[in-house]
Amino acid sequence: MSVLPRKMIMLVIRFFFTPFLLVTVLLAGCGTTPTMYEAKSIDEPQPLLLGDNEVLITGKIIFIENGKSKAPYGLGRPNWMLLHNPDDLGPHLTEQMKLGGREIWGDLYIPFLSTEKDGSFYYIVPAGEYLMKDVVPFYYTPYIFPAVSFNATQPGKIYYIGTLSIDIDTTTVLGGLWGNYINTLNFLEVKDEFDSARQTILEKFPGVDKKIINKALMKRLPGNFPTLFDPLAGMEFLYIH
Amino acid sequence: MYFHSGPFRVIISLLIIFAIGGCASTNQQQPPQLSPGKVAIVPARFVPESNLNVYAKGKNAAAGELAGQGAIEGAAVGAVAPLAAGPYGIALYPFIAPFTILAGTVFGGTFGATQGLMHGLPEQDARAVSAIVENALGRLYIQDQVATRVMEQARTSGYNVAYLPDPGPSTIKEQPEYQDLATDEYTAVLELAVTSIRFVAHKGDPPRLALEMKLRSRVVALSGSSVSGMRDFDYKSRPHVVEKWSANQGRLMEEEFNDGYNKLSQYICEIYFPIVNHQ
Repeated sequence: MSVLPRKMIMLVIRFFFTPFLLVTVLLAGCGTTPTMYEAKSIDEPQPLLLGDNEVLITGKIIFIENGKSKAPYGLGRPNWMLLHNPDDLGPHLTEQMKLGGREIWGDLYIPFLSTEKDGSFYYIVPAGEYLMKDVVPFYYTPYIFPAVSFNATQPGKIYYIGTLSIDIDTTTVLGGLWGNYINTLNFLEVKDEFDSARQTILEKFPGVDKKIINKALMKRLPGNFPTLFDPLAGMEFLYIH
Repeated sequence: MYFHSGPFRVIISLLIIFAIGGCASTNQQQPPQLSPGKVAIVPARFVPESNLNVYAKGKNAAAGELAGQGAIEGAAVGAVAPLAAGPYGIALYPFIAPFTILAGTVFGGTFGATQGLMHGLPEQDARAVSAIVENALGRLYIQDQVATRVMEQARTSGYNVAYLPDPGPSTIKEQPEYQDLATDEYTAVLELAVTSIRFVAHKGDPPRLALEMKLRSRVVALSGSSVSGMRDFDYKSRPHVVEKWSANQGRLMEEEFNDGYNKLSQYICEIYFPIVNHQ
């Protein structure tokens, strides 16, 4: 087992090599661009207005770092990405994510999602099936593939998707100025806190009909497992190990 | 700072997007598979290996061990890092390398020692952990526990499986060919071996321990279209402080072991005996 976190070693290497990588890859200019969707976040209490094919998804993401909850969050709020109607949810996604996850897409991808200070989130997104492609506290590497998906298929509904609790061991260098490294992903689970979430929804969206609040908890994808992954993995031929 | 900030993530996203379509090549091997037919589920017959990770050996031991390792690794990183800068790094190597190697050695050694002292278990806890591990290893039928659960779940899903406790490997390196079973109309063998059981220390105040089990599955195709090969599975429990593990005559340990058996068998069935394909 390596003493220095692998990611720390790779960071040093990349510091020297990344300019070359950028030029090489940009010149290559290959591939197609999936469609990005910008989800609407609702922070302040307000009446809920959903479009024809839209749903509201809500839940929480709580990181437990070195035995302590990171919530209430400061700078290290969760940063996560969803795929809408993923191309496939077969039992090989974990392996593909370890290779960088570049072949896993859907008809839309929704990056740069975050949470409120307490870890809760409220986003208006298109109705459909979703895969959480990555989640990580802001300013941390490597990323986490949680291997969970959920269904939010009926437009006009509110979907509570659960509390994603993620226990990690980390190392901080120079008080976080030179990076925060996730050494191990210890445990990941989805908790059902529907009753308290429903109460919060009713307070946050005055006048909302209780009947449109559904529970659609995130579920682990059969044959897949949460894992740490490096988005540049699979490009190791460009790096010196 | 630049490497982990928002702009860096955007750059990463761009890299990913431009890389789609074949910039990277991968060696893909066909994973092991079971075709429809009579399958023999065979447990291993050896006692799983066990070792504490370095943090669970105690603070001082961890500090000494990690300091040495860290210094060596740091020096190695320092030696190769300038080369990553391409022609410029190579040209300036004689001037840069002495500094990067020295910096790597000092940083790596200090980092390793600090990690050991900060996050190693107290010596007393380390001894308690050793006792827990020995107790766990003394448990019988660890191999059978998983294999029988897999058999039950597979049968519930409608698969034709049989549990054969005898022909499995008696050492971790042994790989029987099971040719005798072909005459009994078995189309494939699914061999299941719990290869290691560990209690791994995780950071926290006080430090926490998690149970980890590693299982190796091996498919041996005897006839039909099954694909021979191996696939590993891991189970990690939720981390708990040492006191919790040893409280109530180790009841938590019992629960976590059972959870481990159930989760591993569930993972195995998701891969080899999927419900969706059988309906």
